[in-house]
Amino acid sequence: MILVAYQHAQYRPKIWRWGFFALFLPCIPISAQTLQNQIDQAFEFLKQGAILAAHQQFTQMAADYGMSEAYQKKELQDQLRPIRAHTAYFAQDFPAALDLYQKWIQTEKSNQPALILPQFQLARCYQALQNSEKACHHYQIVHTHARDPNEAAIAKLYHAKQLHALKQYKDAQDLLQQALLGKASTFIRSAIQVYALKIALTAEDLKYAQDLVAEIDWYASIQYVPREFTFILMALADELYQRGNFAAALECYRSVLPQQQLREKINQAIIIRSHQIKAASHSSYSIRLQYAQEQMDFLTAASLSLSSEPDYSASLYLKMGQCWLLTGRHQEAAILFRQLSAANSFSTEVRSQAHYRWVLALIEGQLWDQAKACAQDFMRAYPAHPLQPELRYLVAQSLERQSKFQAAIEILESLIKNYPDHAHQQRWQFSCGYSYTRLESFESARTFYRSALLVDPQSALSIKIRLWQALSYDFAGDHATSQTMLEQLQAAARSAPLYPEILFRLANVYYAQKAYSKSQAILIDLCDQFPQHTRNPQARVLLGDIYGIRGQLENALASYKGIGPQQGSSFEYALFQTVKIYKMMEQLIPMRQQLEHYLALPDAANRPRVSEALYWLGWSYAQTEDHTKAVKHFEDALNRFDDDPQAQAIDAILNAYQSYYPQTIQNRPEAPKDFIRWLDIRTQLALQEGHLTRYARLQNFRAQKAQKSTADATGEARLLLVHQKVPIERQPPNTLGSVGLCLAKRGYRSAQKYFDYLLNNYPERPERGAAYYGQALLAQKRKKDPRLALSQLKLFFRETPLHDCLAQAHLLETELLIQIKDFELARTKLMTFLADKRFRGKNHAFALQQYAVLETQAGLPKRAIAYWQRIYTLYRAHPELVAQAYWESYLLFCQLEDYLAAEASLVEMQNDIRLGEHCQKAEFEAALKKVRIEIQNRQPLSSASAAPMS
Amino acid sequence: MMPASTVRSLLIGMGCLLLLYQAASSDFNFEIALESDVHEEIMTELSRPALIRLKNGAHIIGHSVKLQDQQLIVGTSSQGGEARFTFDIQQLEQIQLPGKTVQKQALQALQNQQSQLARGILERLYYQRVNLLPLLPEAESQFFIAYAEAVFTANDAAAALGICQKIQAQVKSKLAQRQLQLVALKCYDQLQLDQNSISLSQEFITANRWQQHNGLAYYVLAKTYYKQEAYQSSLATALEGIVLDTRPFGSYLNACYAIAALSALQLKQTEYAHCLYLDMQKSNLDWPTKPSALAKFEKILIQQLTEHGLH
Repeated sequence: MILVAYQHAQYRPKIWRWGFFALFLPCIPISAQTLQNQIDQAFEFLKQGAILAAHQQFTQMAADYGMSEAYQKKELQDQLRPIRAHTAYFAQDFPAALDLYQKWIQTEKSNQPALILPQFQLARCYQALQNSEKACHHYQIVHTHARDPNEAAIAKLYHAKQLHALKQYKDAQDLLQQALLGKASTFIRSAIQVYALKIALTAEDLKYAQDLVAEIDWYASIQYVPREFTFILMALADELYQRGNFAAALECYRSVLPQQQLREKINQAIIIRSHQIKAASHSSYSIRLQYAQEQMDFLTAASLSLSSEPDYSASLYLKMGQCWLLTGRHQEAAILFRQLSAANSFSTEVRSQAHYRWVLALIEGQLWDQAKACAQDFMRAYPAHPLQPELRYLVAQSLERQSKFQAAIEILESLIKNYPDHAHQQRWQFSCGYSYTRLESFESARTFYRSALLVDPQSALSIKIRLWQALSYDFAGDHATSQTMLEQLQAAARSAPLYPEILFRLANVYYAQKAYSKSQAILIDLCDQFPQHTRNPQARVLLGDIYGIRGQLENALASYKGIGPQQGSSFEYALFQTVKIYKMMEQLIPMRQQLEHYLALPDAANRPRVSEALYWLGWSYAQTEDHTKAVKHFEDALNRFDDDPQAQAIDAILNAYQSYYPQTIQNRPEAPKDFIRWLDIRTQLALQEGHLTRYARLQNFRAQKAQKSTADATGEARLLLVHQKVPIERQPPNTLGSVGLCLAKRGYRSAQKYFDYLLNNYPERPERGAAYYGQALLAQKRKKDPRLALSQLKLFFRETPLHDCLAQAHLLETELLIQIKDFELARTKLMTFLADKRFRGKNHAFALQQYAVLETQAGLPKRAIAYWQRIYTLYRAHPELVAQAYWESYLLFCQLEDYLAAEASLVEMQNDIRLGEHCQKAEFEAALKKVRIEIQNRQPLSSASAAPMS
Repeated sequence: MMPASTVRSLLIGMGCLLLLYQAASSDFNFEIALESDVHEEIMTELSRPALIRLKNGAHIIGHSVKLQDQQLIVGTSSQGGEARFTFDIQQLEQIQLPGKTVQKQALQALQNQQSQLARGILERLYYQRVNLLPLLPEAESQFFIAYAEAVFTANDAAAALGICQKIQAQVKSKLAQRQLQLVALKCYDQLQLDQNSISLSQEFITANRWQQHNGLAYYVLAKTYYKQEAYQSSLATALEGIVLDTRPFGSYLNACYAIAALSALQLKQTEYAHCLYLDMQKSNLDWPTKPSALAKFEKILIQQLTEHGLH
């Protein structure tokens, strides 16, 4: 400290000036020449800035001449005392300074303003001697009596610092707030504000600290007290971060200057302050001067220490980035981390950390491909980095989120193999099991779940693993095993956070086994015990469904109505379930009330099922013969929503509109003459005006009608027009499905784009069934991969079992089973299909065709013939099928060399004139001729022919 | 005595070299008119003789100095006429030009925010020194960055850009280069020289990313991308300007926020645009009032946010 005092001596106030000339005034007699010499010497030391030597000189002088008359002269003492006191103070001989300041105060006690400085210095001495209470006392005297607002404010600041040391935080804060009410300079005010912030932080009053940060003049503080302000802000930000208040922490971090900029600010502040001190040091020594000097010393020391300290900037940027990430601002986080990772001025460790977090930010933003590429860059750049396994796991997770489970499994399996002792081994094994579950490879999944549990059966993750293990049985259709495992888990995990989830899953498993009362009991328990749980709305929905199944419609209504509009898609589901119940109960008024309530919600414009609500509202009016109102709602729905790809029930509305067109709309003066004309005009206008979604919907509507009518062959052409004119993102889900299927049936690769878009953008909509079915078609036709096609159909049956393509999907499934020669399963499937009344008609005929093909391929032509016979006996309404059945029978009879029966098939076929257009005449006649020749040649053998099966 | 290697040509006659005399004459038009006594005082000071020191120790006092084809031409009075000395610049040790007092006057005017006066003085100084800047210390060129800034502020971006380009080669120190680049960038931006804006702002950002932050380069670059409908780039650039600024009211921070919010809107990230707009409001950052094209977008932003039920 002494060295520091000397080092900055040139800036010290020129205390010698204060009394130097006075000593040579003629009125002061100096009797002893030696005393005069010693005084001269002391002042010479002061002039040179050798304060310690000056102090020693003064002390020696007092010892040598203390008792002499010349030295004791009042005039000399009055002049010498202040200089001796300051000299002792700056020489850090605080007891001596204390004594001299006290004597000074004693002498001047009648002159209060003149005592401000010695009182202040006295306080400083007590402070240096760590006597905080006495220091406080004297600071208080100063700020009570000081006339200069700056001096008063400085005294209050120092007083507050002493109170802070005494842990009297509240008093210290009050004092500083009082000081801020005065008219001190910005320089001092900034220091006070920053110190107030420091106290708030020590007292852990973070709320108050945040309020102070909001009030502080950042620019003044960074100019006058750059180091303290920066470090306190950083400490506050760290504290907020530790407490999880990332948004507030970010606010603070964003106000912290990086190290190089702080150093520049400090150097600027030193230059400004040294100019001020130089200018002020020509006047007498003062509190302000001493304060400025102290700040100057502090800044100089800070500048020196900053140069030698490690740079905190990188850590600051990393923490800022982390805060951006944790506050959901992945874009900002990604940008910051990307720049940091590329900054060569930072260490490799910082850059690698930033790179890692950059991947995290991209994953958070669901930018999967970028995240994967970024992670690969990391692996290349830092092949031996300890974060390698974590990063690979992140990539695997991002692949899982993209449903790329096979790719995720490859990474996870390599992690499991290459890092057998890693702390995340259990998590990796669980993830691997999860991915296999999603791929429906349940056995593999369970292998991983089992080995994950062996890693640590008591870990928090083990409950989750056991849950998924149980669910894997549920997904595989083995509800009983799933139930047993979930019941065991329920008993073992009562205090686990996953307990409500376990209850919910158990209720689902009971429901799947039609154990409704058990499921109901669990759901009631779940809703009562965990009313705030995220599964609550779904539990209420399931409960409502169970009540509905059991005919307890009032209870069902109550359960559905317990779900509020803010509870996501469950609300919509529940509301439309109540509508269905009222419809079933023929209570149109409450039904309308439900729908009107939905349409009147404040956020109704953004609700997903408004068009559907309008349809049902219109339908309800139609039931009471109020067709005008009904049509009004249909038109409202069409005009508002048919150009919106997300809107639902538009086809139902078009159908309803078609029904009421003749009686309600056709008579309007401006209305087209009929519904078809109306459709034509609207379709043309939609294309002209760029309402492409509307155009796609109308064309699809007409295509579906056409496909049901044998007279209209324009269906596929309309769908191909949609493919040509409407960008994929403007198409609604039903069109995506129809157009995609139309393309897939032709084996076009472009169909896949439709299915991808449908599955990615409408993952919850039932129309996605077309994508699963279409992908199965593509797998069969293009990839020639029946097993892949079967896995797609499996998804179809599980995810969208009520889709319009259900019959075709079943038929395709059996076709594929026949292809892979799994005849037994194909037979079982066909038998089930033929027993299902929903598929009666042409679909049953197709099933019989499949049966016939199956038996033919199984080498049982007689059984095959029986199925063809059933077709031409029972499905004569479908001449194309009948013609084929006769022909195939003829071929099989020929194969069996039963030419009489073969001839009979052809003759029967010939007798039905409708069938003529479904066969080649020349080929048919050649066949008939050939078979008759064979009959003639083999007449005796004809008696052995197989009789057709009935 | 002149050195042997010195090419000396002595011309006797009237009105050979005018240079500053010409500028001092009343018929020379400066852009900024000053009060006549101020003008006279400045021109008198600037017309004082210059001192040219050569490497061999010789020195010449001349009234007019000119640089032409790597040669320095000094005009001096000689026997009632005027003599012209021509030197290769390699032989030059130092030139001392008059005008120290004028420089101080200019600084004073700048400090006092007397922009018109400052510009007037700087213009006269600039005229005196512009052709000799390659031979003068770097500080002389740095001095005119303030002039370029003053001319830009007076809405003459083209002239300001000319000054920047003239002094650019002489400005070597990093800090001064930074300042000069910022003035040039503002000029490019105002003159809508988009390609220049892009390349200079990219250069500036690359060199200064971790130094003292300045949002101008990010703002200009982001705005240019926005104009070119490269919204992803404009959003990323503006966001970089935001995340790297560690000052509550950093320069052009509000402009970066505005461009980021508008870009997000164009990218259909309506909620994110709203989020950025809220950030601006929470941080007490006003929507930029200049340029007017950007200022009017606030209404559009609010309108679109309102349509999405976000405002």
